[in-house]
Amino acid sequence: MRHQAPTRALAVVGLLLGLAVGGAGAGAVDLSGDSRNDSPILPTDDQFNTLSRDEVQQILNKLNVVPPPDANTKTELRRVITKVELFRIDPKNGNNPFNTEDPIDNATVNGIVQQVAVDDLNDNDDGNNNNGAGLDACIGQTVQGQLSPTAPPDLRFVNMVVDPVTLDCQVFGGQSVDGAFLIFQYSPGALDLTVQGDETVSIFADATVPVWRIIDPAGGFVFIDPFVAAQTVRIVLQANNGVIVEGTFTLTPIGFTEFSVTVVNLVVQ
Amino acid sequence: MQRLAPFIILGGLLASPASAQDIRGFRAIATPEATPEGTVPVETPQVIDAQAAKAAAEDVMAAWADGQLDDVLAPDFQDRQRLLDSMIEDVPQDAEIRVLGIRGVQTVQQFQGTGASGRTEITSIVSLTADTQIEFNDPARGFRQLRGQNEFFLRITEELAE
Repeated sequence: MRHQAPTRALAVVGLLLGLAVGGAGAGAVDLSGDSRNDSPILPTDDQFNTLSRDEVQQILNKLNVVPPPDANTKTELRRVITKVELFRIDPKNGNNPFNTEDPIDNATVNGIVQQVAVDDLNDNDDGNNNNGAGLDACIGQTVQGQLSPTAPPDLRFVNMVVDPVTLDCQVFGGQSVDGAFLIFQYSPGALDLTVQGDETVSIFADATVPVWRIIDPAGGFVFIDPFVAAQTVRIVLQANNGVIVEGTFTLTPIGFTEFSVTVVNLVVQ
Repeated sequence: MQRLAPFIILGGLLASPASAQDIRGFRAIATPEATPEGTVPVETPQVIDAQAAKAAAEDVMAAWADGQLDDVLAPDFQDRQRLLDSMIEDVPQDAEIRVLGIRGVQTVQQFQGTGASGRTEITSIVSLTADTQIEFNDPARGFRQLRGQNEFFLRITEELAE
């Protein structure tokens, strides 16, 4: 039994050598023959003598044809972009410039497309009733957080401004403005601007000349994580003139990095 | 031990990491579709370079601003003619569109065939997410900026040459 392994090995080596010699021999046979006559392009010797000059040229042209390159080959090929077509748009958020109904007056919020301009939805211009007389102007409004052109990328803001005397209210998305009494600011990944799952929205009262401060919860600063689920938060604020307003807001995630704020209620205490 | 098994499994489920409870929006996953007639899939796709894809997207936006959208909208773009009509009716003449950022460039599918010129062409389906901003002067409301984020699906054709 112990002698069978070397015997088998010798047999395998012999078989491989035989195949190699046979292969080489086969190659020699092919090369020695006139392989041109196997070509569908080339005529036989007898046919060749009957061809006109033009026909010979046609055959030569065919022989010069280089097959087109193939992307599946391993050859390094030069690729030149010759055409670009847009064939589909999936609206995610805000304006879709390719909205077929109206490229201007459209906005996607929470995955729903509305035929209203983004700035009408978020700004405090007339027409959206998110500003005006009294606290009622803000109650029920939903505003999406908007990027600021000056703040670091990915920071989004929603602002609310209330006049402590008249209680006229505005709520809007965008850059913080002086006098905004309540600011909702999205701070991705503790300001390292990466999505890490610990994103929060900071809520704080702010103005160059502080008019309002958060008295409940104590500390004047609220962190809320709307990216787990929609969150409702209750905040009590006091103005310099003593007016106290209790506000209830719902923060709703949009995707994983954006949010909207709904003013559920504002009540003077 | 067998009696404890259901409790052990239940305990394992309850102990799943908190991060797994994050709510994420539903998002369609771009998947390859049937290749057009006369083409074959590229066996080893060579992804479109991200910079080239971004340049292609910016070309599309430039066509939007120049009123040349007809040149870059694919024949199978849904409601193509309606969009072209809306561009004429609703978009102000001075409207510009700026690309604020492009991310998530991915080559979804690639196939090759012979182009009209007789040369080999590779067609790539590329998806990318772009932040855009339309800017124009509204006679009634002044300067307006309309921001948006959309996923674009481009069909990019390349010609091969050695």
